[in-house]
Amino acid sequence: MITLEAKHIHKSFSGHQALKDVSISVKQGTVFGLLGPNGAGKTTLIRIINQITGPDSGEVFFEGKPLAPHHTEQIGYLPEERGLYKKMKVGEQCMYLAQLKGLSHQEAKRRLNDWFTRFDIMAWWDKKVEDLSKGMAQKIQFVTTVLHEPKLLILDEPFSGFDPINAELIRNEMLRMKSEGTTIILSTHDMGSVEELCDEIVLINRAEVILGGPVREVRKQFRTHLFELEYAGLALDLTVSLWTNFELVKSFQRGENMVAHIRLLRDHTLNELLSVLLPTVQIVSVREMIPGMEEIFIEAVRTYNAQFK
Amino acid sequence: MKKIILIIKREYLSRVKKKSFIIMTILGPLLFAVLMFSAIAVTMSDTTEYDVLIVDQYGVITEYNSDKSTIVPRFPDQFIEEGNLRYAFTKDPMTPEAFKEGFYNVMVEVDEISIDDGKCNMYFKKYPAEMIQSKIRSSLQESLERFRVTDSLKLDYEVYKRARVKVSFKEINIDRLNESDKTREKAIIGFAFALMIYLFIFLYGVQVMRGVIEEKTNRIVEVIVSSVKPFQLMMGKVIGIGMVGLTQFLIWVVLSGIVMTIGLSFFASEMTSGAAVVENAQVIQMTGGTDQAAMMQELMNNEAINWIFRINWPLMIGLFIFYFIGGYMIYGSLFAAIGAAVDAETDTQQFMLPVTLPLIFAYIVSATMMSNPESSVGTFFAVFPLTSPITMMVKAIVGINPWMIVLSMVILVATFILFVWIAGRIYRVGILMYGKKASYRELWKWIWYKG
Repeated sequence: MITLEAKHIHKSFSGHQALKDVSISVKQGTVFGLLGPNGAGKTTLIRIINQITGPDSGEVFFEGKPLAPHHTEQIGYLPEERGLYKKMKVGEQCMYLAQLKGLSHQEAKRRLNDWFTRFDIMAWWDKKVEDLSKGMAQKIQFVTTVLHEPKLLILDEPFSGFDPINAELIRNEMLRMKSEGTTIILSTHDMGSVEELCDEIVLINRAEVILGGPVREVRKQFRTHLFELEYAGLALDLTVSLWTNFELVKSFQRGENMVAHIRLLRDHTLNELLSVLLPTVQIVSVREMIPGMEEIFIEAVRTYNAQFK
Repeated sequence: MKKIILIIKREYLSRVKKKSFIIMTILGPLLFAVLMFSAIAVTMSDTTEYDVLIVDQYGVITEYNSDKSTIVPRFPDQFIEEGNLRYAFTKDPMTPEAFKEGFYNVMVEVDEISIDDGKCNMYFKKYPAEMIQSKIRSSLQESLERFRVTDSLKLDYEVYKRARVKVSFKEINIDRLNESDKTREKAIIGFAFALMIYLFIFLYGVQVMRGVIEEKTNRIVEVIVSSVKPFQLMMGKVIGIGMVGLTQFLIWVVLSGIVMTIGLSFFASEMTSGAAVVENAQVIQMTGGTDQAAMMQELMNNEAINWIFRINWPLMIGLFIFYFIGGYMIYGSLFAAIGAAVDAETDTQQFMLPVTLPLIFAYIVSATMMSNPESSVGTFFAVFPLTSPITMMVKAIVGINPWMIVLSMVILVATFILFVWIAGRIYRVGILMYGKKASYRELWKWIWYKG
């Protein structure tokens, strides 16, 4: 089932185009990565999904139905720039935000009890927010985002400001909710967490979607036929035995063994490479070097921007 | 709707529960009264010693007393020395230099022409208080008059005094024949109401602005508007804070009601015991003992006080509430829009001026209406929506065509709907804009943004 679908979204602010024909489709129970450089239009798209602002044209569907005001209660949103009322007590504040999401007083109280116990923060209930550390406040913000058990969770840079232990805590909560069927849109610049958590991504650059699809396929799409070969033997032997069909990109020593990065040229296969090398060196391991999301991000954006120069 | 009530509740409770609110609400009127009284007390307790020298070269109002061998006033019942005011008389003119060096701090010269034109030179080292001046003036005036009556016109002064008439008005409005009108006094009370609305709009309007800036700068606003519409958030804030103002006002009404009742019954019992000494037993039986109701009744028949009771207090309080709400909605939502358009309170200056200008103007108009309550300019500003919440307070108590009130109310409501709409449009864009200093042109564009 598709939880959220945006079709041909256009949005501009007084002459500046923020989104241009953007379409995304987020399947239920997946983590969807929303990537792009600063100012590409991610926040605008998120705000449209949250109905904070409306698109100039295009449509958004939530579980197949046109997005409507009551859907805000099915969505949890953790903005990148997030804050709390400093003078309010933690408990009161959580109760307030939960009720704004449509929970009854009792239900909010019950769920907050659960969460506060689980995160071991019950002692903070009567503290003022201004007395909390940044990490503590972040935890509270995460709790208020997910408290109403939204079907769609939108997290904008959720790990920024967390120490590794708390980041791990949040990561586990995300995975737990995902396993329970929650759909998550994750906007982040941390490509490590994209590779780890995301099932699908889109990359938005200059208001347009320039890349999208399942993470594995995107990475395959950007493969450069580069292989890492670890071997025992003389580097010179290896170099000599390579023909013009293979390019030695890099060669260095790793421990007792040598490592070579070799690119297959034209349509040559790994088998052909191996058959050439087998007689000369002792092969220890070989693996394809599929580019990481970080490299793909940079490559895709650079290629796209080059056309405007 | 449920959510807007949640917002109102938060805005209201978080302010009403504050210690500063409770203290201000209870101590506010007390503080105000203390300030007023101490201001009066300061002017009353002028401790400067006034040694006044009357120089009467030609013996117009003074004569030589051979017994005391000094110059004394011809009519000793004038020039009464009291408190810090003392007189001395001389025939010898004193040069300004000598006065400057000398002991006296006020010197008045009376010459033979003073009898005709009443003009005297008053020299002073420090400008004398108006009360002192008027005492000296009236002493001189009576003395000169007496001189003219007895010496020039050769009349008996007692006869002249009997012939004198002092004219005063009993003010009667043609629409209220049976009561003496107290237009000026009423206008002052109306001005007190106007002042209160002015202060409340300012005080609570600025609170709205601060609240919006707080939400914007600590970035909670984005979370909130993912749950509710920006317009709901704005209205919730404006209404919640407005209700704090109304609560404060109602507490003040109740408090002053209590204070007035206590004050009046105290006053009444004072009068009762005073009467008991003077009047005969029958009167004591009638008014004495614990029966203060009769005394209260008498008090209400007292011409000097009873106009206060004739003011339609429920109407005034009703009008106050209506005009406070109307005016506050207009200015409160404008303040909210200002808060949304800036990043910090220090940036609000450029937008504050055009919003506060009509408020201050209304205040000035209302103040001038105390001396001319029925001016037609006042009527205009009592109908004009940006000034009516303040100016109408004076107009309504003095008396205005009821249709004017209705017209003013209708215009006020229409205006507040328009302004709330405009403010809402600016607000919804502004709260999500950071780092950019908004210009008026930009605000204009925001109003017309879609979605």
